[in-house]
Amino acid sequence: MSTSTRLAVALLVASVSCKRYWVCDEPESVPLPTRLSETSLFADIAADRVTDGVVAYRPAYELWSDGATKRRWIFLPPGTEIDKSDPDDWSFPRGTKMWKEFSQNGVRVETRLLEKVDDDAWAAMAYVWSPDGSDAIAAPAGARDARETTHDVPAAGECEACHGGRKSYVLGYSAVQLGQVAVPGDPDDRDALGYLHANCGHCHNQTRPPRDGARCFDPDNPLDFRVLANGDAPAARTAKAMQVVAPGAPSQSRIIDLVSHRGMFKQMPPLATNEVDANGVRLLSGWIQRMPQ
Amino acid sequence: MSSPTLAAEPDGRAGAEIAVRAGAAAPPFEEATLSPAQAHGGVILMTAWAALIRDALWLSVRAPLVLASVQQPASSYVDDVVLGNVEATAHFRATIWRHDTLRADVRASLGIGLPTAPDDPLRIDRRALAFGDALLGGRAPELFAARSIPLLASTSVSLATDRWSTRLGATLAAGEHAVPIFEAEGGAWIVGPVGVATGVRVFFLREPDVVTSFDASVLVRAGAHMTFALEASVPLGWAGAGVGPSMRLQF
Repeated sequence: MSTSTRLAVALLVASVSCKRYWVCDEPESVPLPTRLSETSLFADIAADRVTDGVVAYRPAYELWSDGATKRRWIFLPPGTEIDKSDPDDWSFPRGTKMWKEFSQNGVRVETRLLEKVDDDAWAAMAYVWSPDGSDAIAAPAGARDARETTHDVPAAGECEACHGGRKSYVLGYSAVQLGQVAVPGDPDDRDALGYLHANCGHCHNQTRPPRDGARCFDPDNPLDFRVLANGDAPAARTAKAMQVVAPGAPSQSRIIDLVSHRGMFKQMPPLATNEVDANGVRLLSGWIQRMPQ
Repeated sequence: MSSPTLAAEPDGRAGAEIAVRAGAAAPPFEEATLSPAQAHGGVILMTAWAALIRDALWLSVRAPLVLASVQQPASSYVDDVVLGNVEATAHFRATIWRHDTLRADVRASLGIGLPTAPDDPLRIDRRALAFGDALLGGRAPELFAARSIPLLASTSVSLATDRWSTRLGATLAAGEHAVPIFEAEGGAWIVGPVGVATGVRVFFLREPDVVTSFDASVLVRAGAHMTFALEASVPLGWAGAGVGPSMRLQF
């Protein structure tokens, strides 16, 4: 189908439908610095040395980003701590900062910052690295094919698309992602459930916070792809209920069809990826293949 | 009685035209890291005019309103409604040759506008404006240029009767950049009150260098004063097209 035809069909779909869950509200002004060097991540940016108190971490299950390699850091204001009373949605203290750096094919492309600026408000910004690596500059409008790679930098408003689906706003720093929760099943099942948790659970969960106005993501269905802190993983039963999996038959499962495609009309996740995650498809296919009918 | 035409050129004592185009398009966007400005939605171009000197000099005012769902880099969309630049234009027309009902006219227009088209740090407004310009086939780029005073200088020559018309025109539209535009069009009333018009427009952008836009219109005349049309623009140079109705009321 030609690009023109796809665009015309998209218009038709948009005009007569639909669950416009991919429409984001425009964010309010973002009170974040214009340069990454001003965000207190690095003590010496040229030497790649982070500031004291900034801690690197890696989640147990990573979000697929078209093969980009990532580094992550968190900073908690001195004397503060995370409220873990809700083990599935930690509450972070005001002043928390989290950074995630994306490199693709050896090119350091961008570093994203989340900063908790109020008791229930986060600010977000992506910083695109200069070619000489001396600093990264805020890109509130995002960028396509940044730094001559195929990596797309999201606009500030798009951060809400995924992060806004969880009460904590933070996706990769949680009891599950820090390995504090026993994910059920055998190792293969755990990998599949972890994959769903990291790549799908921020939208497909049943505790999405309500919002006014347009929502980036609010799938109106009972799917829940999270792994919960009590060890429960409702993915299989909710997926069966929604008939997005055909137990024992991955090739007949809608979820496999969706994650195996990229494009305007058939794609999951719908944002921030242009390439199929072959390993993810394999994990999920195996999980469905082993699923009792 | 007016000949079929694609352009909202003033005629008569006074008139107004509202043209609506809906579609999807991915026109080039000057900010390379955001290119293209992919969106779907519509644009409404409102024009009103009055004669200062009958059959010779008119003053028109026009403004576009864009309603777009603009794609962002990570593929989400954001809805936007944005008013383009408001432009006032003086139009001069003189008949330079006439034989029976056949006449040759020359037209000249000079326009200047208010820079009402907004800009924003996320470039959503500017992408919506670029999309609106694309839906209209690049007809009036100065109306969609943010942060700049729109200027227009145009001239054309036409050969027409009451049944058909042909026109050749050249325009220099200046917003953030000057855009030369060359147009050719023709139209005819074919069966009673039903007519057709078609045209081609070539305009020169910074990127890509040259874009060709094809326009087509099916017109239905209702009485002596009102014309309905279904118009379409298809540009070569980016994906997308715009189609929609227009209504022209003229006294």
